[in-house]
Amino acid sequence: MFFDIKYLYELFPQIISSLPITLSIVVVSTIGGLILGLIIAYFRIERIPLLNWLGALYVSFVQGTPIIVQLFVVYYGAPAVLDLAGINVADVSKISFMFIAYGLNSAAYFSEIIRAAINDIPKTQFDAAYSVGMNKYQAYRKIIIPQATKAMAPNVEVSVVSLLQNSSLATYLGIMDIMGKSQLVGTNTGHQMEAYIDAMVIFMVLSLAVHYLFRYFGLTKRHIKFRLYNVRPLAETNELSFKKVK
Amino acid sequence: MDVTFLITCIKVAVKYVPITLYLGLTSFFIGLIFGIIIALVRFFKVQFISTFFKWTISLSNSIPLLLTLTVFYLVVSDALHPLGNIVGANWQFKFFDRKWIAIFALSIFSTNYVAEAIRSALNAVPQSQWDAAYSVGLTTKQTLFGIIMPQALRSSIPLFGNILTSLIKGSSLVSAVSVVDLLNSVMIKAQVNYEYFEAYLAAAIVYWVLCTVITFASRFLGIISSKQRRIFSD
Amino acid sequence: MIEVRNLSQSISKHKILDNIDFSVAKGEVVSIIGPSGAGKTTFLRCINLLNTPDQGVIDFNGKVINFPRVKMKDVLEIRRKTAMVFQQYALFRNKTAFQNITEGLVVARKIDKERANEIAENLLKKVGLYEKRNAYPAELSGGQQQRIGISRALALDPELILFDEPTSALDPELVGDTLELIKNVAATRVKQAMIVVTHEMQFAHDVSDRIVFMENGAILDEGTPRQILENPQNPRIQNFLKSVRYN
Repeated sequence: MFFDIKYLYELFPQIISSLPITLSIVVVSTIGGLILGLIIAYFRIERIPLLNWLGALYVSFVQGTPIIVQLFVVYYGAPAVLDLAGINVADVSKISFMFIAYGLNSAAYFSEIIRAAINDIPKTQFDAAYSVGMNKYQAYRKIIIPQATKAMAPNVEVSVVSLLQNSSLATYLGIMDIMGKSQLVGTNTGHQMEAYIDAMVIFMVLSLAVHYLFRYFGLTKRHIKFRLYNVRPLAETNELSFKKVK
Repeated sequence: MDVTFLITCIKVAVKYVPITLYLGLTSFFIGLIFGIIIALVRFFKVQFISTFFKWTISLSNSIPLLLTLTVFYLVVSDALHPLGNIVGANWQFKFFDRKWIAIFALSIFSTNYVAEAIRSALNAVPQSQWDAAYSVGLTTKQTLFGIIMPQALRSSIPLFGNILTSLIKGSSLVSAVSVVDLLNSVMIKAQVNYEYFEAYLAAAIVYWVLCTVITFASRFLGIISSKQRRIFSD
Repeated sequence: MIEVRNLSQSISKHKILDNIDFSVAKGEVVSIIGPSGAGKTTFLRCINLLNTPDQGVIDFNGKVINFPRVKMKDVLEIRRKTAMVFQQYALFRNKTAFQNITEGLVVARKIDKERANEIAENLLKKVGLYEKRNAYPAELSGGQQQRIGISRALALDPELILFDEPTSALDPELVGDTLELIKNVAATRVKQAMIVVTHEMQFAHDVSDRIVFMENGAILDEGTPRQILENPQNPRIQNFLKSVRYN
């Protein structure tokens, strides 16, 4: 039997049971990535010698290689680094490697988002902050970061959604996330199609959830994705006029 | 670290760059054709179809590429033979070029991204360009293809570079449909002596160079053509 | 030549244009003045059918359009007999100065290429930008762009040219040259009518046959430059002229 709708229901509970794995990868890597990304962005905005250059190189590497390759480079390469730090690799679980790999990956993307958002803020905002007697830290804290947060939120959302999708690659390392679990139960029951459709639905719902979560916290407006390109000032006149006269 | 093996792996990977480029470029151009059509439908807010695409884009964008690939593989392997029977041909899955499964999956991805990129670029062309074209008597079609589209495409060039590199990176997953590409070729090599770290590092280096070249090329093209774009004419 | 009756447009309950009656005779030069937000630009755009008003009638040489119902064929026909010069120049950014002038001729009016090139060359020489013919708008200054914008309008040999605040985006030292050019166009025109929205009162005084004063989307008063600018009867106009320091 090629397709049996009954299995859609029967396999779903088994697949959804691995939701915590997928979610933990997304949440841990997002938080870790944001912190590390902020540090890299700081190096690059303030043009700290050497670190600025290393940051750029790191970002270029992460953005220039497939995430699957990064996962394995970390998986096979991290033990050597951990050894040096005196940590027994046998104590480190597989999923911890995933946290490290996805966190490192997100950091690069987040650093670029943060950097672009802060660079886009007009220099006059700094001037204005300094002119009322703020120091650099206060200017960032009170004036620049609040504006940048709004500007970068849509891009962060896109990043989190793609992290959610990329988390499915942990399957390659035998992690039982949504993707891995659906593969497993699909093969076991011989109803792979139903299992994969379940997984698709879960991924769609999760992405929508991310989208509405961002909106709920007022970080994004409706359906703005490529924000940088979305600016079109409304003239005094009817902006739809050219569409009406057709 | 085994440097000799690393270099051997890099050599193997470089040999397979054309396959990876083929996968990336083919799906990019397929995406370009469909993406432009969808972008226009969305831009002119064609009733019903526009909303339909809005949802299909956002939903299909949320499915991991690995899942899409696996499902297509499953569908094609199951449906090809029965489909052939209907047409009266003997279609065998083992003779089917699996690259097309990969290209099909990657094309969905690129169509979505090209459509969104071009739609935003169309929106970013100032209203005054439409006004000016209409005021000299051009029709909507003449304005779109003579004035607006060239500007929108030009301003999308750097973004196209991003999409192409994403496709090339995404194509690293095609081993899921048993296509031998850059990454897969290196993996096959590594199965001999289990030096996986060197193998993955080699693949990473080749991908890195490839993507960096594309990024710089698209930025360079973008700068050349931006000479014609104006900051202060609106 | 053009007659506008009962023209109204509102955007979300806010009336931009309120029952406007207006007409221009063949060869007449009319200036529209008034405070910002009076609806002057919107009105001009309506005449060129870049906006679709909610109601009203436009009669262009017997071609009647009853809003809001418009046929694309009529719209194109009227647009091809008019031309517009924009405040922000609005040159085609992907075309050279030369192509900006020929685009409308070749594509919209189907004039053959050689004739179009000849027209463009003559105009570029006239406005003193022949050397810049292959420059893109991005490579031209504001004043140069506006001269190309005016050439683009003139090339079409329209029956009616609309000027939408042609100098208000320019640097002050460039305003004079551009106004001179428009004055020159007005003086040497054969049969064209012109409608000019402007904040330059002296220019309006010198160039116009008639001046229209708009406020809050309605025409408050109209008359010769002498009536409106030198001896305004309406206190609102007196206040406005005082605020722009005219006289």
